[in-house]
Amino acid sequence: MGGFAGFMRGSFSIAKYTLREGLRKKTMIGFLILSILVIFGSQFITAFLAQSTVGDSQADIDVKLIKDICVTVISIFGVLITIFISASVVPGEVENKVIYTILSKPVRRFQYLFGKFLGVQLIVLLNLALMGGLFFVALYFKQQVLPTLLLYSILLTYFSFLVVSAFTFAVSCTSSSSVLPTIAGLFIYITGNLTDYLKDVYDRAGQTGDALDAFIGNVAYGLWNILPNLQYFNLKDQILYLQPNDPPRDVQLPQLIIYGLAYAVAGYLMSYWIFRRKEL
Amino acid sequence: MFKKFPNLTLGLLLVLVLIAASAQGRRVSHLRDCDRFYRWMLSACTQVRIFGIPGTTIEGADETEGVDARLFRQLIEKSDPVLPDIPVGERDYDQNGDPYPKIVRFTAVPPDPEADTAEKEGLIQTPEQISRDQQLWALALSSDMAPLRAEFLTALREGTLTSSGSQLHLSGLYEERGTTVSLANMFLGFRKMAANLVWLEVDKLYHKGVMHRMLPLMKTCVTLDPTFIDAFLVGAWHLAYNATAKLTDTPYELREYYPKYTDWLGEKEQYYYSGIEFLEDGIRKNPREYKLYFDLGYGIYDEKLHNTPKAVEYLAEANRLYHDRWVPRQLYRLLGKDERYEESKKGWEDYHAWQPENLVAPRFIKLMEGAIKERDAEWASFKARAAEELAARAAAAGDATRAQEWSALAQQAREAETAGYEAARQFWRSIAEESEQSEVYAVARELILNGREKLQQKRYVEAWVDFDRARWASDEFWDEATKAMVEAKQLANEPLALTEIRQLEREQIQLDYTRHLPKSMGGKFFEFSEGTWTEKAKGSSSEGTEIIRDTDAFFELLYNHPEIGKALDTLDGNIKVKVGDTWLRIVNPKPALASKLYTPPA
Repeated sequence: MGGFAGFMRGSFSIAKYTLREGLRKKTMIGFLILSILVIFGSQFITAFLAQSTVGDSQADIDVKLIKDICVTVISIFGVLITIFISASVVPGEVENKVIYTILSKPVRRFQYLFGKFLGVQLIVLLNLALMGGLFFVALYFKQQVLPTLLLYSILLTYFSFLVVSAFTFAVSCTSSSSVLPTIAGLFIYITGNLTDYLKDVYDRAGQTGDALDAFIGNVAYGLWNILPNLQYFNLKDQILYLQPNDPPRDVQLPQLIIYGLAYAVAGYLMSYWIFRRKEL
Repeated sequence: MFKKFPNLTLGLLLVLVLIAASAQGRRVSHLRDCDRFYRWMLSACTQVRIFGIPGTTIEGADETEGVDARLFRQLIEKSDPVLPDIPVGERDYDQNGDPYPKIVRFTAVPPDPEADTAEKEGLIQTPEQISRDQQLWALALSSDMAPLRAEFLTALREGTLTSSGSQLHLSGLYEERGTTVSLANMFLGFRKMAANLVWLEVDKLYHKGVMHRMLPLMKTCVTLDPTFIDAFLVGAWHLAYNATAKLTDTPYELREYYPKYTDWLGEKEQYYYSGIEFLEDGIRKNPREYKLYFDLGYGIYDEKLHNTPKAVEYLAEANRLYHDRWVPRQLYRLLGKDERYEESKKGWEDYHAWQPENLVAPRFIKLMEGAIKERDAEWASFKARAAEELAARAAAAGDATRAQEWSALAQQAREAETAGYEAARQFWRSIAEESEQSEVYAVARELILNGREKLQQKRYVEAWVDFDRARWASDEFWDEATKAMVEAKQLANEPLALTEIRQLEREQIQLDYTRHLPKSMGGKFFEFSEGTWTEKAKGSSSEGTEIIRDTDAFFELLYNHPEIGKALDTLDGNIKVKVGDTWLRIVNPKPALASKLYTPPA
């Protein structure tokens, strides 16, 4: 237990340091400020709508606009922040050679990497909390009701970022610069959102009776099974617009969390596998 | 092992985790498929109950042949043995008089007044609804449904379904053809943002007054984002209210008959039905959104088309769903307007028990009490007329004993009528005095009753004055009081004003055109087909007992069931009506009066 406690203490120290370092990154702060400005600005976008409609509908349209703008902003800026941070923490330390000082101390590579990964997650969570918190407040001021369901939406958004972050982190372990992992991160995000297309390819394959057609279908099916599908996390409509009791949504929420965690573990294992072989 | 074969161990571990993640992915994918299927079941069942068929068909096409209908038939077959027994309620019958399938009844949970106390986020939900939703979800997940689910998913993928709603959003119906994902969808809510921008454009056009350009944009808006409830609501409002604001009612001579709507429509009236179709589209896509039903019922059917029974149907549906607290208030008000006074009063009493601080409920409870008193007096009047007629017939037939018996009964009924009207008048007066004449409803009712009494006493000019005062006291009774006033003037041999003459002419023309259109009567709805008026209380598949009009049996029926008197008095031709649990066919030996729409067969 002592060993585990020591491991966690070490990892947390690295995570804390990574968080502090991350908060100083200008790109991240820039994205964060931009997103916060847009979320704040969503309060005023409804000024474009003249007060033409009956009271209730006008208020509802205001709320809808705020929800749509904020959800989109959180998704876009959130994933950009996640990719930039995940792609830069390890290569940054390799580049400025801080990693050599750390690894020369009694810190195991697994522990170091875990600390870094944890640090990245803390930054992502902090950003999401800031953006989500502002969204929460914006909605509360419009509706005068605590939008508790919104928290589920933000939670799911985080788990989709976790998957992107884990695989971007794995790519970043192969590189000494953050450019390649950033591009890879964006690619992972795009691919992750297009995984459903593979299922479509499989469903439509075999119609010609051609062997190649069937083969392509099977390959697509295999890839569909292996690759993470970020569209699964897209339950925002059900969360934000449906009534509070919705059995399918309630069942899917925990299953999606497990799904996100499983791919995050896979991503992290991949990064460790790469990192432990890295010559430092 | 890790120290000896680190790469192998890590590789194996990675493969194992990927397999676990992939298995979880398949589970999530299965849940999403079941989610789509579940939402289709809900949507299709709602559409069957509200519109008669799941999905939409092209006009003239056989509605039983579509993919939606075929899948729905299979759903009924598979779900019937699995679902618990649900009693067939009074309104659980389709147009043909057959009870709705079990799954349709199962998805329509009656409102539970007890549940109204379970308030959450300013809205109301029923525990029974939550429990049934969970059972339905279990059904959607079950392996028994697997073949039907697969068939449904294939139809959904191929885009052959019309009944899948958008509260699914996952339907694929509104996605780009050929793929269920797109780069636009990737930036989650991108389509929604586009819909919002289109909506801003609609708003701009509204302020420019360019109504005709708004409709295609509004349709684009809801196609981009079918969950945009307010676009449906405001769009229908623009169509039914703003687009028609500067138009005058089309004279009946210039209208055209639309069998689809069973109504005569001009340019203005067509906008109402465009609004209805827009909201119906919204309901198909968002079957659980009470605001759509509310606006359709109250906003268009009641306010614009004055079809209160239909409005009540939609408001009852809104009240059954997860709704805001003003929904039952409007429902109970319209129940009163539809002369379903007891139901309305009961509703207001429940509402008052739930929201004791609400000031409207006690007022309406009193108004309904007064209305019940007036209605009872009116029924006594029907009884008296029937008994007097029976007494006269018995006397003419030489049956003095029976004539005496009926005369005594007629006398009793007349006394009940007089006492009833007097009680109602006293009741309205007491309310008016209590409120220092600020309760205009009671003031107007008392004046109308006074006027009626004076009419009977042949004090026509005084009656005319009472009716005139009544119509200015409360605009709710404007039409009723104006009609009575004109009647009093005619009886008094007073010349009518030009506007009154024109109004009578217009009414006559309207009657010529609408004599055989569906009518609301004392809280019941009658439809005209094949020369017969049929009460639209569902479950009327049996032929019913025949009773010839103006015979002894007919008057005895009227005496025993004065509640059908109003319908018998007003509707022309043969009538099929439900009395207690039995259906009666009241046959008129005289042919029905011809109308522009209907000509009796030669």
